[in-house]
Amino acid sequence: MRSEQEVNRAIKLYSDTVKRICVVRLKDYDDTQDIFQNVFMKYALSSVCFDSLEHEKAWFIRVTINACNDWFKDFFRSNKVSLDEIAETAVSDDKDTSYVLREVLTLPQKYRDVVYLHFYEGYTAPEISKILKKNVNTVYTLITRSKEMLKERLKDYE
Amino acid sequence: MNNKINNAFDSIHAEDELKLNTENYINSKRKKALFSYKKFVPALAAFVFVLISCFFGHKLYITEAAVISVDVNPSVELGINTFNKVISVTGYNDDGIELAQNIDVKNMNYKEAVQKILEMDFSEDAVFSVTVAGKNGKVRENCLSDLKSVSVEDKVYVDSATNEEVREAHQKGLSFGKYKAYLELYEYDKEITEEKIKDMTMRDIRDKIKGFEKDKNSHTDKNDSQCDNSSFYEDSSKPNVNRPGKEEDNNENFHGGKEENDGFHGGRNE
Repeated sequence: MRSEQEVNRAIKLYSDTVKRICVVRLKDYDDTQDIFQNVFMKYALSSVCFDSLEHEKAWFIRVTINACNDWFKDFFRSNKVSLDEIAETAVSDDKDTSYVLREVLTLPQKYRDVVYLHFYEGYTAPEISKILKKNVNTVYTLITRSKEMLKERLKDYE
Repeated sequence: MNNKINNAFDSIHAEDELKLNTENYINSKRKKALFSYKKFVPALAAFVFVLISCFFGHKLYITEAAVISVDVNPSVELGINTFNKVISVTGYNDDGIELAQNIDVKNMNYKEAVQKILEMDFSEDAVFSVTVAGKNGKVRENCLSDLKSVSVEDKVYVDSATNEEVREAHQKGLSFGKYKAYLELYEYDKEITEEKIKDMTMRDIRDKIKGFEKDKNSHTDKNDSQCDNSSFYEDSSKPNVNRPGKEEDNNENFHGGKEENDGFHGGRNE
């Protein structure tokens, strides 16, 4: 198990990243705490040696995405509520999110991941393909389409 | 558009409360993990298993399954375990005690150990007696059949002994190999005592027995020619052992020829 100092350092460094992925993926802020704790608990228990901070950050992104996927599986198994239903509720309840974020969050899931990783984190298509375990060409297509979709949506606000 | 997206995501931060809750959650789990006895259960079970295995393995290793008495003049007994390893060396006369102290045959295969003793620097005409006894019949029989390969006519005698003979031998302070030779000699020579035989070499004992056997044969031949229906021969086919210290009801029974004792003499190479 990693030391308390190591875990506290990771929380300080990556808590915002984890939180942003949770928002992009789950939208529902109430559930982010569970994911948050699971991700950092995994880090505390993990014995992976990281070559660099970039490597460590990529690990956190991958683990957070997996944790969100697991959360969805459990959530649908126990609640049987559709994803769209949750998305609508979560976004409409959140009055503090900016219109840009609101529009990002209304994109389908596969575009939201790419928007966050490419436009915000600055990952290239090959890097995203590794993180999301998707074909590089698919990622290129997702980036292009998401860009077009957002442009179209944000046009209304200008 | 990139700036707008950046600004939008920049506005998302993990709240201090969330960070603090996570830190506390992980620390509480860490403490539980540190003091949880459950994680020690498999290790403890494995440790107990290893301990029990070691205990019984060790007990099995140090339990004597058979004993081999090697007599030249030094008389020593080698305790053998079920793994055919020598676990003890006991001397039964002064030379035997000295040999037991100096020879390093412990944990050695019994055949190699016996071979090592036979190859020691004894006089050229030395006679060796290798006698096997033991509670574990299988180990005893294996020893006996294995050791027969080291027997040499008129040089190395391989035999087996019963548990009763072993007990009697030890009561008299003799190795059971020598005790069997003593019993054999006692049939011809009632003057022989345990004290006298203790330091006699096997060569001396064998020579004496041979001498008596020779005399007996010539005496028997004479009797054969003199009296055809002698009552001497009535019981000659029965096993008849006159053990020293036991009731002696027929001191002349040796006339019947070489007696069989518990069937173990059959293995001797004579």
